[in-house]
Parts: sequence; structure tokens; C-alpha cells
Amino acid sequence: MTGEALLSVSDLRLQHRQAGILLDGVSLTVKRGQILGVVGESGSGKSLTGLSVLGLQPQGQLSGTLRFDGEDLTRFSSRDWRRFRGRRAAMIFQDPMTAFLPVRRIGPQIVEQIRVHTALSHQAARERVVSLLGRMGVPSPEQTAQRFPHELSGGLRQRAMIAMALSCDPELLIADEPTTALDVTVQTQILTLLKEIGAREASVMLITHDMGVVAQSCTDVAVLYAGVVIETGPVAEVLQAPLHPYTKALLRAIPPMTGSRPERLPVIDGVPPSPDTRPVGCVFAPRCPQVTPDCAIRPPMRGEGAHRAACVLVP
Amino acid sequence: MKALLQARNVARMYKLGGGAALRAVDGISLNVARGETLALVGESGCGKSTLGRLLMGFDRPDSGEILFDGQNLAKCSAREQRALRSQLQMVFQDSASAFNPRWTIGSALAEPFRIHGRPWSRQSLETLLNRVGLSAAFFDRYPAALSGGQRQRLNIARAIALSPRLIVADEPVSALDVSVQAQIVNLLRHLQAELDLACLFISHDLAVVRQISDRIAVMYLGAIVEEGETLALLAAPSHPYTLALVEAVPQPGKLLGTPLQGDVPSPLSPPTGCRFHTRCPVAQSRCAVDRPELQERPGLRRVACHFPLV
Amino acid sequence: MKGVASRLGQMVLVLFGISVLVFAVFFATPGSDPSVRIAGRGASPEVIERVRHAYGFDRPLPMRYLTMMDHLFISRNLTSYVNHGQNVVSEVFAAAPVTLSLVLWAALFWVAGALVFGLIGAAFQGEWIDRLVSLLALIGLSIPVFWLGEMVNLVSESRFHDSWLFSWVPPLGYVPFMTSPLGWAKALILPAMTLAVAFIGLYSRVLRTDLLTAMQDDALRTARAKGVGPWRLWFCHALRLSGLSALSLFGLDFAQLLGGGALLIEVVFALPGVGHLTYQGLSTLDLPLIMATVLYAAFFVVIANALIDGLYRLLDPRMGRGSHDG
Repeated sequence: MTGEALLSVSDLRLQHRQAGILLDGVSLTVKRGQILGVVGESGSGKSLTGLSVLGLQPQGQLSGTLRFDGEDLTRFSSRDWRRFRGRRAAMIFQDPMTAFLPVRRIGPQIVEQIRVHTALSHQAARERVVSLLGRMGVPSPEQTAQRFPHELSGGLRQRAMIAMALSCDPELLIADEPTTALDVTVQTQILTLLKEIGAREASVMLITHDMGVVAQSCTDVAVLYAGVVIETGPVAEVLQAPLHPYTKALLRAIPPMTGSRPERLPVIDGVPPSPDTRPVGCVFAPRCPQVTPDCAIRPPMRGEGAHRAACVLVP
Repeated sequence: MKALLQARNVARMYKLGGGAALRAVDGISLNVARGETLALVGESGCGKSTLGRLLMGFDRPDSGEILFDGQNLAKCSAREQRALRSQLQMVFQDSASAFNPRWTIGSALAEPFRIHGRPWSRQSLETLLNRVGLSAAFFDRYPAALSGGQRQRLNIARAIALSPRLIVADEPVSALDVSVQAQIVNLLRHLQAELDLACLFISHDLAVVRQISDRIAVMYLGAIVEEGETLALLAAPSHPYTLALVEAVPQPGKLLGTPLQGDVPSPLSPPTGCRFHTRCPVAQSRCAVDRPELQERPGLRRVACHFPLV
Repeated sequence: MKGVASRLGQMVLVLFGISVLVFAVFFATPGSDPSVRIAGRGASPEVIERVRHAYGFDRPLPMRYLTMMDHLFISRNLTSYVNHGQNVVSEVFAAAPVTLSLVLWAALFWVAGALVFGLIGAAFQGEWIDRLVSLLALIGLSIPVFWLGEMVNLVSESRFHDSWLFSWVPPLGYVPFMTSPLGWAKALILPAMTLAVAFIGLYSRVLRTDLLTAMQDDALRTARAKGVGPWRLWFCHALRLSGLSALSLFGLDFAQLLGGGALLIEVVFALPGVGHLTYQGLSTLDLPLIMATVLYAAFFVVIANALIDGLYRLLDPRMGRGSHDG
């Protein structure tokens, strides 16, 4: 199941001139064959982390290390990045409607990516697109390739987007909220597809706000809060025995689908800190019910084995 | 029990260019009792928001009638309509655009009083703010100072300002983070109990709906396919579509179910017979030609299916 | 085909409205009574009265309007009030190729210039070169075109005419393409460039803003995530997205110039185009000439609008047709 580390991010920080410190210590690893869920609320920096892996983060001061298959991404020239993006790591986005160029047909947009990275002829690239679309479960792929993005349903667009991302056999697929804009029944289809991809074709980094999505489709999870990774580990362990008070609270806040209905849902009081009010110590300390004086210093990740959390309560 | 809001066979069709017609709402009947929460559930294009607008009186149905407290809104005089309107309020999803950014929070809250010519005082508005969990210190500030969750609280404050008897809430928590969502759901439930407020809660999120509603009506392509008491319906769905929706809710500790095939068909050309038969895992030949009617079933359940699961 | 019919109807309506307006305004203008002008300076009231009757100026206004439209569109022999016997219809038709040539040349310069400066400005956003281009654009926009034209004339025709740089410049005036294609080009290059200056200034700014907006688009983020290089990114993606709004602006400006909007340039460079005719008609209060040139201009604006709409539909598949039927 788990192989060598494909992507390892450690202590990634991003300081933006106007917005402040957006990422303040993101560390995570994607191993080959893994589906890593990167989960957090809005503003936690989960999408930025994904964009940074492709060098697409907004202009700012970036520090920390980003290693992909042994290569140091922070030393990439713009030429290196162009060869890397779409070829070795590809990304899909939340809204497949706006993510495609609205004025060009689906097929040529995928052909473009293949032709940018390979020496395939136009004809061969087109054939590859049709077979890719078919593999992604798109009905009548020849006709679909001839359609404009707005002529497809949301689910088909997202399948086409995934087909484009996989068109050059990348080793890592970064999916940024791939199902948030879709209907629930279609969401299940896309998650099933991503699970198959994770098992067969590429490692996946699935960025989402939904713990349920992580639970159902990921092998591992990294929980982000206020620009910091506060807990990582295999999904089963993290969900069954969360270590960090934030992860615990986040899981409790999900309304249950079975059993008795609570009178009140447990909530986390207060709001997440903004980049300029982020505490120097533990980022969750101001809202934490179990806060101790030790929390004034930012705790490092601790724990045994793969399941670790950045909390002083962890032995 | 007398229904507070009653829809009888309501239909609304939109004519599009080229002779096409969109049957957004296709003959729907439902009741909302006093103090009760009915959830309208369905995927995009099922007509739940259109139905919400019709029930609010923002749009007129082509056929059927809508009764609020026994009175037909469409047939009332302008003055009676105004009086009824104050008892019927709406909360929208996008709380950011629901407020004029140049008005202070205080004046935004005073607006419903002004429109309906009711007296108000600064003190009463501050009490209103406190009631939805906002500090009175926000009174003179602008909506930009609020976070998403706080703005939704303000939205709710404005909706309950005139002590309405029914609130139509269209996806009020879908744009919010889980932890904030829980706060708003708690607030809505608390206010409902306190004010004896009925609510039509439009949402696609079954987990939230389960937490907040007494009854659920599941919609698919403009029609109700199943209706029943919330916990019983979610525990044992009768309609295959309801089951698929329940299965599709991603929850920790539950495996990814077998997805439904295909997408929701375009409401411009809905399938014949049962509208769900193209995606239904248990469909039989009859389903393609014969459209099932919504029928009463034991346990206050209504189901539109030839081969119900329970 | 329903679209074509409605377009035609719309055009007829626009032309009718404009002609009525021009007609009404003309007769409401003090001192515009054509009989006095036609009769000549110091003519006796009897002579004026005779002229008035001969030209039909004593008939009711609607009748006179209809007669004028008949002469303009059906018998096409509407004559000037000022230069007796001069047929304004053939006059406009003779002037049209001059204006068309000028505007085509100008459009060439202005599209090329706007593309170059717009792309430079967007690609080097915030850097000194962007600021320089933006300053140049502002200067180009604010220079009065007739002053610039006179300066160009002064430099190229007299002061430095003998230098190697300007020795090729022909004397002012127009050379028909059929007479000499080279002469035609030579005669038009400087006027067209002068005309294009202000448009380059405006369009490069519009394009720069549009390009920068397009660069923020989700689709461009996807393109970058695909590994598309900077050239493809700017030309095949950003330009394709942002060109659309500039296109509708271009259509209107182009039509407006064809209709005689290049009046000042034509006068300064002594080009006998439609603008020149309009100028002539206005300065002598010659109603038939004004009517003919104004309607000609309106015709082009409506036609160009229809063409641009068609082009837009072609370039943006989301327009017109219904969405998702999958």
C-alpha cells in the first residue's frame, strides 16, 4: 500500500505582501499509491498548499522544502516548472465549468496538454484523448471531445478535467475540492473514480473541507488549521482516535446520519485566526477547551508511528 | 392540525426560446404546520428553489394555489398581502450579497420595520442582535466587519425581526464551514422553539436536514418523490432515489457506496414515465411508461414509486 | 433567418429615426432656410419666394421629407442646395472608397499597435516598461488629432521633406488604388498612422486590463497547471478570452470611422473622403449633403454591429445556442 515518499513538504511557509503569512508551517508527505486527504476549513491554506506543489501559489516569500521524487522543487526554474506541471504532477479544480477555457472544445484542450509535453502527432493525441475520456467513464467519448465545456453536465466536465489531468501519466494528481460544485449523487461517482485512480494510476492529494469525503476516499489525511498542519496519519486512525482537540471538535461538529439526534450540535466557539492575528504559540490555543500554559510555544508534531499531531497533550 | 402553509397542486413552467419549456415545478402539494420544519431536499435542477420562491410569493404559479394561514396570497388585496408578507420571511444562502455594504448593521435591521411601518427602537434592535448571538457593539458597524457565520446570523435576525410565523431558508448553511454550520443550525433550532416558528428548509445536505427538520420532502425533476417523518425516512427510505441520496452522504465510518449512474437528466426533456427510471437501480419496464403518483403509505409516508423499497 | 429579418427591420427603423431627426433639427436651426441661401446674397423677397416655390419649400414638412427620401433612395438624384446640380448620392459613393482605404490602413496599424503595447503592458505589469507604455498611451490619447496631423504634415511635407526619411512622402491628396497601388499606399500611410495613434492609446489600455483580468481567470490557472508556456498562455489563452470584449468596441469604432468619423484627418490631409463631405455639408448648411452622409454613416454602424454580433457568436460558443443537452 505505502511505498516511498513521492512528495514531501516540510515546514512550508508563504508570506504574502498584503495578505500576511498564509502558510505557517505545512508539513506533509504523499507516498506512492496513497490518497492523501488535505482537510481544513476555508482560509486554512489547504488550496495554497496544493498550488505551491505546482509553483502556482501567489507571489510571495516561500520558505521550507518541497521535494518531489528526490528533486528540490524550490530550486526549479520556470522552464523546469513547465516541464513538471501537467507532466509529473497535475491538478484539477473545484469548478470544472470555469476551469476549462469556455471558448474551445474539450478535445483540443486536452490535446494541447499532450502536445505540450510529448512528441505525439495531432492525430495520435486525439486518439489518446478519446480513449482517456472513455476510461474516465464518459459516454460516447468521440462526440464528447467535440463538445464545448458549457454543453456538458457538471459531472461529465469534471470527468473530462480528470482525463486532461491524467493525459500525460502524472505521478501525482492534486484534486482541489473536486466535488464541491457537484450534486451529491455525482460526487459519489467522482470520488469512486478518484479512488480507482489512486489505486492504479497515480498518487492523489485530495483537498477538501469535508471529513466525510476524506473518510470515504482517502488512505491518509493531513488536517490543516490556520496555515499549519496540526495532525497527520492514516485515515482510520485519525478518524477513530483523533489526537488534536481541533480534529476532535471538527469531527464532532458533523451532524450524525444515524442514531439519536443531539439537541445541540457540539460547536467550536470563536472563529479561526486571520493571517495577522495568528497566535505565536499553538494556533488553536485561543479556541481550545484543553489549553495549557505550554501552548504558548508552538508545539512540534509528536506521536508514535505515522499518526502524529502538533499538540502538547500528545505523549 | 391546521396547516400554516399549504400548496395544492402547484405548477410553474418557464417558456424558453425555440418552443422549449422548462417544467421547474410540476404539480406539487405540501403542508407546513405551525412550528414545524419541513425540509425540501434534492439535487440541482430539481425545482426546490423555484418552489421556495413560489411559496414566498416572489413568483406566481401557473396553476394550483398556495394558502398561507388559509388565505390565498394571490387573491388578497395589496394591503392584506403586506400584512401576510410580514409573517413570511426568507433567508438566503449568499449572506454576503444580502446586505447593502454602505448601510450600517443597525439600519439594515431597521429596514423591515420601516417597510412595514412598525415602530422600533435602538434598544429593540440591539436585543434582536443579541438574540441571534451577535454583540450589540455591531450596531453601528458595517456588514464587511462580519465573518460569514456572523453575516448569516444577521440575516436570520432580519428575517425574525417582525416575528414571522414561517421562514423559508434556501440553503442557509451550505456556504459555511462545518464548525460554523453547526452554530447556525443550533441557532435556527433554538429560535424556532422559542418563537414557535415554522420553517421550510431548502437544502441538498441530508446530514444538516436530519439535524434540523421534522419532515422531509425529496424532490426530483420538479416533483416530490417521497415525503415523510425525518428520522424514519432517512433510516428506511422507500424511494430508490431517497436511498441513493442517503447513501451518497459522505460520513466518517461509512464506506463509499455504489454511485447512481449518470447525471440528473435535463429538466428541458425529462424522461417519460417515472422520471427517475433512467438512473434507478430497480427500475422495471413499467417505470418507463407509467408515471407513479404520490401515494399515502403507512407511517405518514408518501411515496411515488411502483416498487417501493419498504 | 429570423435573425436576418429582425436585423433588417432594425436597420430600417434606425435609418428612419436618424433621417427624421436630421431633417427636423435642420429646419429648426435658425438661419437655415435654404431658399435664402439658394437665391443668393441680396435677393429680393420675390426671388426668394419663387425659389421657395420651385424647390417645394412651401409644402408641408412631411411631404418635403418624403420627396427628399424619394430622391435619395429611389431616383437617387438628390442634388445639393449649394453647388447646383451636384448629385450628392454619387458624391458620397465617390468618397466612400477613400474613407474605406484610410480606415482599413488605420485599423491595421491600430490593431497591431494595440496588440503589441497591450501585451507588453500586461506581461510587464508594474515594471518600468509598463509605465512607459502607459505614459505613451496617455499621450497618444490626449494629443488632438488635427494638431498631430498638421505636425506630421509640417515635418514630412516641408521641413524634412528632403531628408531620406520623408523623401518618399507624396504631396497631400489621394491616389486611387486602380491608378497606382504603390501611390495609394504611400498616400495613406501617414494619415492612417496619425489616425491610429489615439486608438492605439485607448485599445492598448483596454487590452492590457482585459488581459490582466483574463490572467486571473480559473481557465488560465488550469492552463498554467497544464504546463503551457508563456507564449501559448498569452496568445492562445489570455488573448482568446480577452479579445472578445475589445472586439465589440473595435466594431463600433471601425464603423464610426467608416461613416465619416475620420473627418478631421481627411480635412488635414486633404483626402476627399466621406468625412470631408460631411464637413463640407455642415459648413455650408447643405441639407441634402448632410442627410446623405449621415444616413450613410448610420448604415455602416448598423451593418458593422450585425457583423460583430455574428463574429462574436462564432468566437464565443456560449452565445445564442441553448446550453447543456447532455
